[in-house]
Amino acid sequence: MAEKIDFSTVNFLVVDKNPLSAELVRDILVMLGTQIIRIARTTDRALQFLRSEEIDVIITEYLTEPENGIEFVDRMRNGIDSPDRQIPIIMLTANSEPAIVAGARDAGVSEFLTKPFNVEGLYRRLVSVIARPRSYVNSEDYFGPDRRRRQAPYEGPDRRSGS
Amino acid sequence: MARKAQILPPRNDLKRKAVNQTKGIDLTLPPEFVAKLEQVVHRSRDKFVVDITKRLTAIRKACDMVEQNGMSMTRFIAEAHAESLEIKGAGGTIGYQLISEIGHLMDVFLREKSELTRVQMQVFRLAVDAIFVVLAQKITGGGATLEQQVVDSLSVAVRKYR
Repeated sequence: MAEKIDFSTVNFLVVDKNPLSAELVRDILVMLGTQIIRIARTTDRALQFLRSEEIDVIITEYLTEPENGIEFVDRMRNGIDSPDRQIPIIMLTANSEPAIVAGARDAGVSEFLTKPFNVEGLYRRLVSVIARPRSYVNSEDYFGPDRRRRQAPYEGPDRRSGS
Repeated sequence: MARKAQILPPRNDLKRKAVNQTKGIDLTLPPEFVAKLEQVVHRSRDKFVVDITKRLTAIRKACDMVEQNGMSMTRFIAEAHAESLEIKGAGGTIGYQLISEIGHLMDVFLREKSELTRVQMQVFRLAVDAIFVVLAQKITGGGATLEQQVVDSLSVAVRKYR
């Protein structure tokens, strides 16, 4: 039998200073069956929600205030006051400059989707963070989802075996 | 010595809570559900059109102000760039692909800029005017040959005068 996602059990936080954009994402999530969707116009308000409620997935813009989306992701992943370092975070933004995309990835964003977006693209990201969670990497300079998407098997000699 | 990276296994609590085989929506979105979700987006189209028009009007006003020294160039560029991104993001989402294409050109044109010459201001105004026309004529999708020629010409102007 095919796997399904019961969205009524997933709580979302949408962080976007543009009320229309946030409303559109909310309406899509409602149609999917989600019951609890919090909308924050600022990252400060987002943190209040995260500290007081059970949030499962964050969908954030890059153009947020007072912190931008990358700073917000970095705070969630590395801040000593982070409410949940491993919470799935989808960045949904029109700002598709390569430096922003790379910055978001290096800050530990789970998925990145550029606006304009279509509903299928958003749905694929939701499936990815809910049904196919990735391993996390904790290193000296990075904490976040494993950035390697493909786990290609290596069949050559092990050069670190010491022999 | 550098600390070795630690790999933490995927956290499955959300998957356990939400994924099952009986209730909810298939992982591959069924076509009838795509249509339902597209209707949701379509219903918000009018509100977005009003919003884009307001943003364009604000940009036009800001162009006038900066040209009459009523606004600093730095503030103008920051505000116009932010509005361009919002317009680019909204257009294609609600079916106005041309608006996103022109919004993208505005975004690229203003990126990392701190000053605009008189000619550069004219090019930027052309892009704003083009979006007004798209909205007034309700040109959804990618437009026809003429519309694509306008976008191509704007694209050349952006590359040349950026």
